[in-house]
Amino acid sequence: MSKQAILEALKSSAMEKVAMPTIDIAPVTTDLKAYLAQSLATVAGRLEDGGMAALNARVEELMSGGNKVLSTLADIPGNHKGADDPHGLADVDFAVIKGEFAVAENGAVWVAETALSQRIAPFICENLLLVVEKDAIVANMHEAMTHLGKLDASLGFGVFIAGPSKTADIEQALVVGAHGACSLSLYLV
Amino acid sequence: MQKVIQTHAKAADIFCRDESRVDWHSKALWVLREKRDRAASSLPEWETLRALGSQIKLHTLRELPSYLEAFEAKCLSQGVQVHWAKDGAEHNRIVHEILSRHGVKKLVKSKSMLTEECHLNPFLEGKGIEVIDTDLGERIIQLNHQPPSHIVVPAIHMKKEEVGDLFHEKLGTPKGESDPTRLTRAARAHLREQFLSADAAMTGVNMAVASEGAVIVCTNEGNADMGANLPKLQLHSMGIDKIVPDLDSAAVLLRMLARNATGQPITTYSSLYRTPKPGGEMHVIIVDNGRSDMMRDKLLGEALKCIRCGGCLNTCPVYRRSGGYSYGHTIPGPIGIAVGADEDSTHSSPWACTLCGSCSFVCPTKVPLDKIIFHRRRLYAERKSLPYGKSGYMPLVGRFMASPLLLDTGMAAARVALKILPHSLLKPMSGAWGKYRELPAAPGSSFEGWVKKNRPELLVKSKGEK
Ligand code: SF4
Repeated sequence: MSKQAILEALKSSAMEKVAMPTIDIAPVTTDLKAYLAQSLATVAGRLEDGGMAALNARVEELMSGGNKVLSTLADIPGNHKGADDPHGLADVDFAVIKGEFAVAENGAVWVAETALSQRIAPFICENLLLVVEKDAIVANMHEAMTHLGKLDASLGFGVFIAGPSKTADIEQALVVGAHGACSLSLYLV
Repeated sequence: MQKVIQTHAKAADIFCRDESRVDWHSKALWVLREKRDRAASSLPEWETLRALGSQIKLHTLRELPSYLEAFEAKCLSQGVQVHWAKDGAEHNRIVHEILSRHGVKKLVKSKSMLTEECHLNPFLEGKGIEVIDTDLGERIIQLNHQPPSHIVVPAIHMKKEEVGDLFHEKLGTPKGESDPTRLTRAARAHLREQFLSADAAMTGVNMAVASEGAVIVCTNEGNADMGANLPKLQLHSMGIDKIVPDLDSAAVLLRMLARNATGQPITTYSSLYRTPKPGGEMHVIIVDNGRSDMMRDKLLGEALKCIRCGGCLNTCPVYRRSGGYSYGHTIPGPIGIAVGADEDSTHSSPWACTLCGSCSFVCPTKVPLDKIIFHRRRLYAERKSLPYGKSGYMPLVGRFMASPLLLDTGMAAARVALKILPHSLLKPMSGAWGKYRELPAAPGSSFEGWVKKNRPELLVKSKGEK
């Protein structure tokens, strides 16, 4: 079988033994919230002020404006009832989704499957509203992974999302809104 | 794809005919290089990360069998099906077998240089399966019937007006439309239909985490996730070199990947797939296709540290001015020479390099690209398969340079010739070198002669030391 053939072939590798290095990088100790806001801006996301009250008001306003809002947060009722089939979310205008934590160095938010009814939700919506607890900010990706190590072992899918989807494939011009969400707002609550 | 039988220099000649396009291409890539520099220098620990990245990869490559097996075991325990392919043909067969078992008619694919390497698209299309590349750049070149010309920005060689014409013809955008935002919107609408009607999705793999049995897929557009999370069936193809031991190692590489590619702090989406979606199926195909061979040579093996950020292409003065298609290989530029020179039947690609070392300098995992490229030349010479021309005169040059008498007389003759003969007579003898250059003004004497006259103390000293 090919597995055996590949493993066998690897036996004649000439690569030298190198010990696994210790990864020990001191995290920054600056104001993490300010650092996060700055990073989020560079990835075309927006940090919103006002916490839960502001989020609630925004969702009300969106719904009264005729938008279809899907919410996976218990205390934010949306007006899209969700779907058993992921294709049924194709008409979501705004999705409100809980993130576990945010990473200050790059503006990324970790969204775990456990917070979603469908894996497709954060990608298929036209706009994304992420909600993260205000002290759930880690400095960098090393800390993020340490955090992840503590997440549910049964987690089947998770994603770091840094801003809205974007592309620069046509003459290097940055266009926000490729296949995923066209805008991303982050609420710290 | 047609077989490329042109040498790099010949193919580059075609690209270089349009001088303004060469300048434009070079500048577009240099902008990426500058963004990369800014992103790298914004992290005080950048050099530490590079050293860590290199060590992690070297460590893992040496221990590949155990990491691959640990990865497979973990995948299987989480309900993911794992396949092994020793070459591209086997990879394609496996993919087709899975797809046909599910009656798949349309496959949406996100960027994967590995599937390009295996020529998966034409293979599946030959079997009647429609393959849609979903990364915008890849979709553009797919509609244009071209392979990628860059590994991160595959359509970097095309101008927006050309994309506009193409979209007008294929997607029905208004004639003359060349605004990147409006063209991207049109592609978004077109590709959304494809995502929603696909029967299966396939992605490449940026990192495979052995300890978690997880694959990490990075995109800016979200096309990999729009693909993988809609249909029941998802496939991920990975080279054996994509393994990292654990999430901590993945963090090191994730911090560098996008920063080194485009200057972003991280790609928009870095997704971690560990199990099939409820009611779905997830397959991982582990591919060798020449990688274990490369590791038989310690230096060539280091090329497998590469994480495909494309940084070396953006910095390479030769790539920027000769275009991706001149390399005659799926992966162009410095890393393409390092991993693909064996497939270049003209044996010319290792000479598409000035040995300036810039690529090695920007590489996030410290792949010694210039050393590998030089090593490739040596391997060709040893195998007596130097490209046409070089095999004829190089040994003579060697003999000439090794003899002080021949060298002295030869150089003296050249100085006289440069002084008294018209340059129009001499230029043809300078070959390709002289084509775009003026011949130098002849110095009055040889360097040795100059030293003898002006700094005799140096000569005495060095003789005395001997
Ligand atoms: S060493 Fe060669 S391949 Fe690398 S950047 Fe310089 S010219 Fe390009």
